[in-house]
Amino acid sequence: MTYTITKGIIETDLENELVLLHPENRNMYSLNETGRIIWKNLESLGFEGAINQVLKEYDTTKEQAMRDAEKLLQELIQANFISISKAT
Amino acid sequence: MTSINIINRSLVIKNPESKVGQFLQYFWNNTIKDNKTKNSSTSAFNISIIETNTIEELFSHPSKTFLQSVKTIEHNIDIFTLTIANEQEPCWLLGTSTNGVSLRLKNKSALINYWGDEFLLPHIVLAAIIEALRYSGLLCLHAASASINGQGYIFLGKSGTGKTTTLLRAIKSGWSPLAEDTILLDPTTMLAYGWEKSIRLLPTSLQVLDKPLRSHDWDKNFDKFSVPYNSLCDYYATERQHCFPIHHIVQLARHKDNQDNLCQWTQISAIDITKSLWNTVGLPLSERSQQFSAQHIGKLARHSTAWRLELGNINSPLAPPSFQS
Repeated sequence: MTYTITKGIIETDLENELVLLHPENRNMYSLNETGRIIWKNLESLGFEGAINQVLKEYDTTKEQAMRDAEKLLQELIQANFISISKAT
Repeated sequence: MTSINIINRSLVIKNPESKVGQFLQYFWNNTIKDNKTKNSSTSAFNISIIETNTIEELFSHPSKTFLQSVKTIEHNIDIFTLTIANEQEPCWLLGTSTNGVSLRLKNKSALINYWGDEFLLPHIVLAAIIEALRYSGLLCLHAASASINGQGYIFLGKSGTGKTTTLLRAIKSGWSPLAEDTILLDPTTMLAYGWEKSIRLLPTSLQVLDKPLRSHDWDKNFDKFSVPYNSLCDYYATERQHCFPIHHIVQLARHKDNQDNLCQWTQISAIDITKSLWNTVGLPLSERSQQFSAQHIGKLARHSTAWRLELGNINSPLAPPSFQS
């Protein structure tokens, strides 16, 4: 799977957290520290790579990190902040 | 030609005798220049305002332009985005082909041409100037602001949440007002600037004032009274300020049914105040301005204390949060 961040999403960086603003519908979405790591690494490293970045920085299990990330990505896809396509 | 200094930016009005030129000189009133900006690291930015006979004079090669989208802002002003061959930034058209403004943004300058003669034209030009100021690196906030005990506060809230009445309550309690409607913030210095001469009050808001001010025959524009800051500050023995640093950002919540003396300050998260700030700032037109606004809002949220202020319907004095028990 390939994840693509929607063009024009505006990030407001609060150091540990991130607020995303969708330029078309003006919806906002806030990310906590781990969500921020997933968001920042998803396009370049893919899902597994982003999870590994979370595991490097936080004391959690891979299963828990994956569950949290999948839930987050579902919400972000639903809110049109990212799109998903099958890798070619 | 007239030049006005707006926080280290030059607003060059090529036709100062025109109706728009006169409005702009009255509106900015030279109050927004401030010696404190000399230390600002922001580089100079020039905004040129030029009267044009018709829109056709500006776009003699319409085949090179491409109309992309339209959005609507305050006063129902339409904005069209034009992509122009060989130009990095698009050109924005605000208003209509008979009464409007074009805005072109360059790295260190902006060019604003206007045409037409309708009463809204000065406000359309003003909207373009605000866009240019955002592009130059300033943050423009639709908010009220006042200071007390050396601490600067910005009050955020949707229309009807009580920005103006909160400011009036603050003035009555000895706070120094900065602005009732619009603030420019220089993120390099965290200084906020206000330049309005008057507070515009609905008849209901006028009731907050003491009787001598309430019964005065103030000028009226549209449905609002214009009460000069000087009159308010003289009466309530406080001082108007045009610039101060911001320490607190306040999200207002009005409980109109509450007849108690409700004035409850609660600290809130940086995320919540960031969302409120975006709702206040709105989305700038250009990508560069959007990125600037994101940086500035992040900085403001990180370096200020964020509050939610819940107010009832009783217009009692406004105490700052540190004075709460």
